[in-house]
Amino acid sequence: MLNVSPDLLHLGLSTAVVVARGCSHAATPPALVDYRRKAGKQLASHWKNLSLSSHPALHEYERVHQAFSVEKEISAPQKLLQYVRRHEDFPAAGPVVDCYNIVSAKTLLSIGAHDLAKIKTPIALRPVTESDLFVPLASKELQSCAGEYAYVDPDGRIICRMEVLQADFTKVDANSQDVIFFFQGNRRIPTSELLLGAWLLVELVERFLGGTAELVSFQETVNWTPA
Amino acid sequence: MKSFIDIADFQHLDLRAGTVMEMRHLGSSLDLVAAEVQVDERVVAVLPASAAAELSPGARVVVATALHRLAAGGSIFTAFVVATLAPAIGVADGSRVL
Repeated sequence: MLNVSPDLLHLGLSTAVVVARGCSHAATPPALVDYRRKAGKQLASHWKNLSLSSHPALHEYERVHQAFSVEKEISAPQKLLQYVRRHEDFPAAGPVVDCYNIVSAKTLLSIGAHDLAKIKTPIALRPVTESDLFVPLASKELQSCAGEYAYVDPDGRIICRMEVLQADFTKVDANSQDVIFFFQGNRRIPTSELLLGAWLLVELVERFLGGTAELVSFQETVNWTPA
Repeated sequence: MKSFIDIADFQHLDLRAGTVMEMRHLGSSLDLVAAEVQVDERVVAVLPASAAAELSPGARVVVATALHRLAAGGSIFTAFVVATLAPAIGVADGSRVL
């Protein structure tokens, strides 16, 4: 499902993939809304007087970006926590996104969801070449990200640029039945957290979306450093 | 730095002392190990391969049991190896920890 370039594993990235089948997401179940709001309040309280950007795990995303000469691109977990801290809740973006946002904010893992029916596998997490194509979420314009790293399908179509922005063509919508989740950690996040994050997402999907989920890939960094 | 995980996060978990009996790697796409652990009964717990590298049969561990089911590598797991137990800690297999 996911092949990670050895260079990126040596930079400290770790990955996991969960496939969820038979998800129902016509409406967000009230129990999930309650769980989301409770988690939002707890996380907002936890981060109230703490610096996000200097947290070792969040700072580590920036260090990896810098290895690819990318500056001032905030990782998705940090952006999410900025929102949660301000609003004491998560953005209401539908049940699938709610589930993975909660896991991402609790673990600091970057998580993206894609409609399994819209992607070709295996996906490669690798440096981007000039011939790879990226159309960001909610856009129709091609964007160049050569020299960065990305999740790329066998046809050279980027499904997610770093842990920053997903592509439009694989987005999950109301008709999506089967969803594939890509998890990305870094050398400041223990791989036990990666496993527990994937586990929590499986539980949330099965409890709130009525689907069945399986952990299909789990790759540890070869260069873990305690935070 | 304030700890992100506090004691309340663990109070709902069923943490048990146990002894590792056997271990097997789950496969090339899963850097995970299934460890058969004697608690009050035998449970199969999962853990990252890097963590398992420090264990061998006979090692004492703390296992979180009765978790939501996790399907991986053709198996279903409901237990997770949380930590190793120092040999000096003399608690019986199956004893509740915390």
